[in-house]
Amino acid sequence: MTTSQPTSFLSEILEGKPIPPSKLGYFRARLSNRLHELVLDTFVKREADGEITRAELARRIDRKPEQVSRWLGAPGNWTIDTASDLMLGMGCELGLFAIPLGQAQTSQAVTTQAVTTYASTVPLGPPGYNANNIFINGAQVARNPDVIETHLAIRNWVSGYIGQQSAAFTFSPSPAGSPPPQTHNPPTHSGEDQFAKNVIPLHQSRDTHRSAVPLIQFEQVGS
Amino acid sequence: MLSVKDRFSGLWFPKTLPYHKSAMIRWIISNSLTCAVLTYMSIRVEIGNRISEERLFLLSPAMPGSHIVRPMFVSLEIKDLVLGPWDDAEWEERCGQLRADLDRYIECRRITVAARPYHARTAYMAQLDELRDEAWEIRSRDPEPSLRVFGRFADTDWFVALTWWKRADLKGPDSREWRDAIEGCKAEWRRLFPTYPPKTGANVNDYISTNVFLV
Repeated sequence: MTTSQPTSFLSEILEGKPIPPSKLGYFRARLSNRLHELVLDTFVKREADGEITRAELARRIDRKPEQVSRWLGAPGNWTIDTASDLMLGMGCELGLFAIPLGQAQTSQAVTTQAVTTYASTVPLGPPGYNANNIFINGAQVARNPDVIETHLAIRNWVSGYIGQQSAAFTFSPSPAGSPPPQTHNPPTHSGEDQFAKNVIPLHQSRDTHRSAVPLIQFEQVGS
Repeated sequence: MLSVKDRFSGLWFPKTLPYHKSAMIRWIISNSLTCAVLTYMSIRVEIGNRISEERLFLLSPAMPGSHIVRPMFVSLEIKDLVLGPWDDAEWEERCGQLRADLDRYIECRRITVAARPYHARTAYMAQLDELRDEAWEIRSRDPEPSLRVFGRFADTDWFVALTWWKRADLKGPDSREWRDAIEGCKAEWRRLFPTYPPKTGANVNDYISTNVFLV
């Protein structure tokens, strides 16, 4: 027996009814957990790349290493300031966006919405791949006339976001000078999937890269 | 040789199944059929039996669109804790937060695990002393009251959550209450799987295959 009621969990929220305490609590903890996961993923990635250690992170934000270890262990006593400090200590800031829950019930809608939001928020570069079209699970959901370098980040982000390990992405080649078309097999739900979905490395921030690196621009199919 | 359909309908489950059990079977087929068929009477099959008896329940993520990546099977008492009904609004809210914490495991999001017992009290998960007990806890620390879900691994990534406690009721790390809680977890396991030991391992990845951060 499974214990899910997938269609009813959001019912009060979507129907404008008073939201029961269990769901208020659920989403509070979910946000806290996701924020912690994002910071942790960022740290794991940067530690693996040899860019930072716990001791170095602690030194940069003027905290004791054991305090940083506790923060990385759980989001228990975090504040927004804590998350900001930790991300800043890793040279990053958080990218934020709102997801209407009504659209989260259809993968297609959430993908389009999320990718569009992502595209409008995060600058990427420098150029590496030219991708004319993006396909998710075989369906064209967005068109990208510009340059994508971090196709892997987008693939992982969308896969993780819609919760589908089976999300397959095909990046079609653009004309001259572009790499051959690549079809990416679905990733497992690993830490890599989570990384970069909301992380904006400060050295690639909009302020410094706006003129040099094109933002990814997605157009909804049919729009 | 029996077909897959025959195996599931004739041997492991009643022939006529309500919808929710069919869904469970489809989940097992899609996620562990190969292993289950190759190891004919594995503990995974036993879990299927306990589910058909409604002594265990497969906990699914609450959010639509989320998928089970690391399966968690819960006892009736944990199912009631997570899904209610609850006595009051404050407890209902707390249990909603617990469910979000459990979903973090199920959705295979990165979790922190204590490198050893009595270490890293903020870690999401820890193996309890003594290690040979193969008892684990999931810590839902905030807000108060801090909760502990006790369980054991049936296989890599397959966690069976058996009992729960308020942390304050367990008292200090060497208390009789802690010892009783661990023994209660083991006893519950034996009731469900009398002939199957829990998963044992030499390192954390023997229990949790990916997305683990040791603290």
